[in-house]
Amino acid sequence: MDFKNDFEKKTFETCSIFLSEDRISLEHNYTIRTEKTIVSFTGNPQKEIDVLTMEFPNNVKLLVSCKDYGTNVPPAAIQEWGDVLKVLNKHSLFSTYFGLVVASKGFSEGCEAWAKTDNIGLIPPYRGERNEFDESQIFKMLQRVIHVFLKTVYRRGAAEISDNENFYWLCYKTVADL
Amino acid sequence: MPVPEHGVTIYDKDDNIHKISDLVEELRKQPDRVLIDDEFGISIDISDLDYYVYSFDLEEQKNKKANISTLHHRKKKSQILRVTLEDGVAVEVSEDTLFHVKTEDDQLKYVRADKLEPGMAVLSGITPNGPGVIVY
Repeated sequence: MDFKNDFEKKTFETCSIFLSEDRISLEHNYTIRTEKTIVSFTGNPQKEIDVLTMEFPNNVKLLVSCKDYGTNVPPAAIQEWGDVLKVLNKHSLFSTYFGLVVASKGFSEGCEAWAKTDNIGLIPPYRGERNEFDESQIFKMLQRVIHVFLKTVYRRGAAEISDNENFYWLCYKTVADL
Repeated sequence: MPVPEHGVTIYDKDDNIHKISDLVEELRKQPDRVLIDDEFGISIDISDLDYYVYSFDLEEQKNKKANISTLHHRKKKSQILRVTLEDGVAVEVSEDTLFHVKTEDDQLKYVRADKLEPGMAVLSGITPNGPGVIVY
């Protein structure tokens, strides 16, 4: 497995706790293949999409984006991830896609508005003044979110948390205390 | 309807009030409900049970009962803040509890408990009485 950086490697390892190797994949410069059509994000201007995909039972797929930027992730990155999710869910025949963005340096103001709009989970959560966390805290948050997400889908199904801002809030409330 | 002096106000279908800590202790005996229970806290799925809080309905512009889907109870000690409204009702919440607040230009925004200020109009369902203005 080729990793772009150590943060991506640790994110992959954290996700690997929950699934066997054949149900988790990492792709760089990803061309989105929906269940109805193929949509490329690699045209001009080139939009580079790296995605870690976790395939859970009942066609539930969690797409994780690792952002190891030198500074806070800007809102445009969340908007972009939202576009990817919208395309996949719109052209989906049987899968339900959820989006999660994991950032080594946290998020900048405005990210939470886009995340709520597109029902995307943010790790670490954007909380205004305190927006930077140790790497170990970030991976603990990721582990906690995936654990709660799995059990919630198992108990309630995916439909409820794919609505409105429910997945965003599931993530926020699961890690707000950490 | 009775309103407790402080604490998170959870109602059942008969409008009896429950303390979150009591509910957590009772429901954690059902392991399949427990979404997580670690050193940070416990989350319990109660979406199939009839427990409610009052929350502000943006479409109807009034406080309504809203079903609780998940109980989150922290183990880590954090700062507990007391929010008092002009009608005398008070709640004690953790610093990162989010409240719906109406801004001067009639917009709604989320404000963390530790960022609330006197004079702010809180729409979140602290009580069945509806929105209230923070005194201190």
